[in-house]
Amino acid sequence: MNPLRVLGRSVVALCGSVGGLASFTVRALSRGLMPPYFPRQYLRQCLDIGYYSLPVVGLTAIFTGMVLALQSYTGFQRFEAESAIATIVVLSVVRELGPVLAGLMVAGRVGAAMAAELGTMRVTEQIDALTTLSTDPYRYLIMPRLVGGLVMLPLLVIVADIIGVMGGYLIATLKLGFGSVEYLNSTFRYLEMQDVVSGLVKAAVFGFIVALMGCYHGFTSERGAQGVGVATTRAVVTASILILTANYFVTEIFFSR
Amino acid sequence: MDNVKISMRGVHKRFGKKVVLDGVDLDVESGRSLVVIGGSGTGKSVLIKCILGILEPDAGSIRIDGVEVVGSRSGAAGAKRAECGMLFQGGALFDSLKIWENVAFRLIYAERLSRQKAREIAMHTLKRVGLGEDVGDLLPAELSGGMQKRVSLARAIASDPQIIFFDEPTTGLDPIMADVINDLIRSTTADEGVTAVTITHDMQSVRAIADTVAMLYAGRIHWQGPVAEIDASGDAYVEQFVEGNADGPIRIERAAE
Repeated sequence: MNPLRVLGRSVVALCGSVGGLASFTVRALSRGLMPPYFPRQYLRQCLDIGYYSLPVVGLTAIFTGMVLALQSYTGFQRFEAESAIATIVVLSVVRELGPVLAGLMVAGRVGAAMAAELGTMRVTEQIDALTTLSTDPYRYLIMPRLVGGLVMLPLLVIVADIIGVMGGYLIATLKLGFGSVEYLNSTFRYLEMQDVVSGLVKAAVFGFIVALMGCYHGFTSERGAQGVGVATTRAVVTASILILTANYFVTEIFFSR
Repeated sequence: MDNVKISMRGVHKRFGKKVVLDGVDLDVESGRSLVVIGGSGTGKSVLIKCILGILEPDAGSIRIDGVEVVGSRSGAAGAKRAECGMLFQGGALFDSLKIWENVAFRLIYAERLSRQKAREIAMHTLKRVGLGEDVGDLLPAELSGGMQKRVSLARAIASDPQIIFFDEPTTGLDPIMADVINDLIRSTTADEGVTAVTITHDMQSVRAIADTVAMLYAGRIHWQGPVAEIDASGDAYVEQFVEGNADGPIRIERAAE
């Protein structure tokens, strides 16, 4: 096969996907921001995305904080800079690891579930049924998920930050011999509001990305069980890649000089 | 005709290179039951999805009570489509909602009735289709296929629509349950004076519920007439379909393709 033809097809397919996603996003926001609103759906999505993700995000955060403390200690000991461990842990967790790991975990848990649920609804004509019942699917299904992702991931990240720092604190005080007060003082001494805000902005962006990818791939799922499977995989993969990409750009905006 | 409820003129719809509707002209009289027959893949479902606004025709006009609904986002077009109910082939019940919530969906979310009032209407409607109140609090997955069809019928008629569409209402049901569903459709449409459009392959259904029959073939209405004339239509395509013969013009043309 002609390589140019293969390349051309790939470019056309990519443009089609980007255009489809842009069109979906504009439609979802323009319709979803208009009434009527569906409070039960918003509440349900907030519970699904936020409350039910707490265990997995909490576990990820505590072990990340613990590993960070251990790694920093063994590395910084060589330079006699152990006193920087608390600062390293808190800055790493709040600025970077909290939002990124929470985003990736929620992409795996919630993004996949959204794509599977909406894909199944598409395949079984439940989305068409909504239209025949005078209910806009973008308002009833899509907007509550987008808002849920946007609002709940920052809240999850606040919890993840606290648990992550606590993980570092536990290792530092119980295993590495740091004093409790000394460690906590070091933790907050160099922490600035901008560090926290940047992490929360990242979380909001990642939450929106996870929900958007889950909704888009589920809503446009092909027919059949295979179509739903493909939609689920795409939702997780594209959300993960976009989270890592967006992470760079948000960091650039906040911290580039 | 003065009492035309739905009027379609030159409706075209294609998916990629595949032309599905190639200039459909069709009138449905008010208060009458039209059944559209035709082989698998001839575009019967696409036809009613175009009327309902689930799909947008590429060209042509669809009027409900004289109001153009193609490409129109006007309140009048929306109001006309809100007068339609639909029974989907697979039921398309919302599997996360209880049976009564499925039936009352439009009442709660589009007509904004209180949940208590909507539940009363839903229970009454379930009774109309032969289901007891005990079914109301179950989930769709807990019901048999025949019961799900009845619930779907209840959902379609709960808000007293002016027009009801039935997509393969008896497919997948045993002959007795199919007869029950046919009776329900007939009694519902006859008692309420509702206009009905049904698509089906099932000739027993056609004879039970149709006033008029239209055959869709090659993207157009190939034949249309009263149900009493279907056995003596004098049309080779209709005769072959009605008798279910493997030999005939439909097969020859398929082989030629």
